[in-house]
Amino acid sequence: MNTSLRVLFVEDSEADTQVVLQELCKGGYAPIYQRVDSPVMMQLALQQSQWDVIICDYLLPSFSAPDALQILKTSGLDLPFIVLSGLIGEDVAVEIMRAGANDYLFKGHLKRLVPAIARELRDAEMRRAKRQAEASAFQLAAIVEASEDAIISTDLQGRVLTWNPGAERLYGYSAAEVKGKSLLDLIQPDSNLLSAATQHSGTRAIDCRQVIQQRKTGELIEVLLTVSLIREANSRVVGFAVVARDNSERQLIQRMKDEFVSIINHELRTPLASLQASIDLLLTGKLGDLSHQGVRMLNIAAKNIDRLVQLTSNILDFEGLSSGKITILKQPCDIGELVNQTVATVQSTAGQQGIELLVTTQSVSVSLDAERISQVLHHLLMNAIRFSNAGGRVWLEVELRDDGKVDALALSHRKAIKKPYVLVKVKDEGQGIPADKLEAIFGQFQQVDASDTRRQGGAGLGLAICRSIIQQHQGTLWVESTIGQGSIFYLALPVQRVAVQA
Amino acid sequence: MTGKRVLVIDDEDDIREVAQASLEIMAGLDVIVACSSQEGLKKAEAEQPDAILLDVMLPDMDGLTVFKHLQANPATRHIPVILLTAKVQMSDQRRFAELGVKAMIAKPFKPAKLAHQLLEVLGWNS
Repeated sequence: MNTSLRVLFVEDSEADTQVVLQELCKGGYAPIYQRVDSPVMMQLALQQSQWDVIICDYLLPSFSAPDALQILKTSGLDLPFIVLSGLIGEDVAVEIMRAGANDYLFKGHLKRLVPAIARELRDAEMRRAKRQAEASAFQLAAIVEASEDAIISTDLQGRVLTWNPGAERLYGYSAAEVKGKSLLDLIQPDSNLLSAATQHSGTRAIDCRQVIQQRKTGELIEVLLTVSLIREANSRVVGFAVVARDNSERQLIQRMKDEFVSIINHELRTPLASLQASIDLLLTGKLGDLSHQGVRMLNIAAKNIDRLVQLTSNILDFEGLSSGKITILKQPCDIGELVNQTVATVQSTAGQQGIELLVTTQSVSVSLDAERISQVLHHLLMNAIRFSNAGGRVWLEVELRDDGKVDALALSHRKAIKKPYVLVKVKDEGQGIPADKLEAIFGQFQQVDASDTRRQGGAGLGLAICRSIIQQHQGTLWVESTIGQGSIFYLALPVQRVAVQA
Repeated sequence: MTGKRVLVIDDEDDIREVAQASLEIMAGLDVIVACSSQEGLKKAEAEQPDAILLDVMLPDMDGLTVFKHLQANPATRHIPVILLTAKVQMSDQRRFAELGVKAMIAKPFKPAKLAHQLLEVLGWNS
């Protein structure tokens, strides 16, 4: 099959054009062509269509090959330009080649035409590939230059090959200072990082760790370091790529967060304490009678202060649990008893909302932090009550699962729960949770529906806290739900020592 | 009326006032107040209250140091101390309990709960 070739002829003679076309067809090309014979036509043709080659007559009535070459240059296109002429002196040929033509041929001797085109197309393709490679290298270089992280490459001996501005900022050495020097001697003496990297040469990113390194000034800095191997196309390892991130900034952010938490803790809760206590005191009626409307307004204020207090408690809890400041102190505890105690604390709320609580429990000794697990049970029960309609029922069941059988429940939810464990189920008849929210509700600041925040109170941190507490007990917390029928929250806690009573 | 007297030591005027009102109205206690640790230590010695409700975060001296001073003074050593704190953690609670702190009550507090907790901890319920 012939190779298609898009040819722009700059030529006044159609007959000459046809001769060239025949030659091209004989040479295995299927030419698509356009013939132009004026500067304007040539400019238009270059703008409107794509070409593989230009074949240009040396002398035309309105202009000449040097003019055509100039038009091509002005267009910015890189196309093979071959000059064809009936009569051309050697000096003119040299001049036109110097001006940028790729070849020149005599109209009577077209044998060289096809090989010349093939060669020029190959060369043009190589120039294009080179330009692309340069552009992509330029882009990569721009990314490396602009990176806040230090990006360094070394040879196999760890001698610095490249050193970006991020590395200059982080370590204090300029690129010129470090080129060819041993990276580890500069920033991390006594490290076996690169030799460890060589041994793990099978993997891609071979090391990511927090290390202490030193700057040019001798100052020690905490750095998050990733070392990976640089491979050639034949996958031979030729060096190391080192990416280092200044971790001290993160620690600054951590400190700012701690300060913020401390502000919430003290500056926000202290005025809340005054507000809460003074409004509650007014509501006791012991400071004098209030109008019916006055009591209503104070109740609204009291309810919303309770929300704020709860929110600050949740933020503190969540921050404390995730940062490890709140430690889980496990002690053997009868979960049946803990459940009964917790149920007692929500009984009056359930009663006020006309919700019936149905509790089935058993005595199982579990190693747990009673305060925190009670917090989880309380939250799950309060949620079940809040999202139930008046007259609804909420079930709580405690069950020891240690029957030696394959755990169908755990399998069906892909939960790796090792037996024996205690399973607590909290079931309601509420509106249910959409399937796509079943996991999301355990995230931070998540509610099934944004309007829940206003309607039901809470900031959507409660379940995130619960899950964190359960995870720190090596347990699992998840939910099943059917829209319109209700939800079941499952809480599984591992049991070490078991004392069962029916 | 129980006839018992409680010293409230807190630098926040509003907290002092609502704590005083809570204890007076909800528990029928007599309340005297101090707005700094120095004043608190002096009043504890001079007035000999039946219990002290002490804020953990005082600007001039932290609550724990105040507590240690109270313990070190033979004239105040016998007075039960309850700490009022913005955050109560089990670990803190144990540490303070080991030192001899009678109880910790969390801020914010509900007046009725504060009164109830205080009476219960001190065994003044009857």
